[in-house]
Amino acid sequence: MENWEKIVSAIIIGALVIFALPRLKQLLAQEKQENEEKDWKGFIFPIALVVIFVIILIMAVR
Amino acid sequence: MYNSQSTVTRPSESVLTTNKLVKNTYILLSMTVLFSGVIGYFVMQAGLPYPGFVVYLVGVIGLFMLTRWLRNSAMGILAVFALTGFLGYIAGTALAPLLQVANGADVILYAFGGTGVIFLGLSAYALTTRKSFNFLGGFLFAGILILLVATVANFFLELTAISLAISSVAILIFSGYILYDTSRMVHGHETNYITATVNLYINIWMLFMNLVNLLMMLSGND
Repeated sequence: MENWEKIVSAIIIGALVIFALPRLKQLLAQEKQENEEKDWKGFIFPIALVVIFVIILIMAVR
Repeated sequence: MYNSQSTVTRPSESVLTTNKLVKNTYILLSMTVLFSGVIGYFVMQAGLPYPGFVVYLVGVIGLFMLTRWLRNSAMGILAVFALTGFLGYIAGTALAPLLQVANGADVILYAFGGTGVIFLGLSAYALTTRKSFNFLGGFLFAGILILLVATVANFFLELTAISLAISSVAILIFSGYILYDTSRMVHGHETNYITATVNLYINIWMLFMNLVNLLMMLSGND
């Protein structure tokens, strides 16, 4: 990647992050307000399976 | 137990709307995945050039905003095909050089199959358990922002270890997003099939590209 391309990309992504920060604050505030039950176990279980599956894929391509 | 009770007590009209939304989303999603696959294949065969990271960024952001803007009209479907066709083009140009590398074709095939298995598995999990993953919104969004900052940092640092970490975390975040977006459809938080399709397509695309990157680096070809 050329230097000018890195700088322009960094500016675009930086602007995107700054533009997205209020949305993040809004999402977090909304979740706090809704006070929904947080089933972290129900989330971690399938993600752990994904991790195991990706490790198997890595072993297969080596 | 709580979830199954809430499913039973939902009005039948709401269940029908959800089923229609899920059906329309998966029909449009399979059409767009096929379309972008065909575009990617022709780009690889024709050896068309990579347009550069700036064009990629501006194109994706612009077409993504266009789909949001047109999501309530028939033109929205055209915008979805424009976005997915563009991402198919980018994938084609990014994957073509890998075919010249030893083991490259195998890595692409494994990543393609792996993405399919992960997507189908996570979708089936979210659809059958009907668990609500709405609480993940802020957590996953913060993860995306951290990934973006790390990506910018790595433009200048150019460290393989950071690239490996970015791809690994991206696979986990977009896997989480598959659960989140599917659960939002099931629970009626997402009611537009154009938006739902775009969200799921981007999850699949990011999952695939990061899986290719990770497998390529760890197979000894980077």
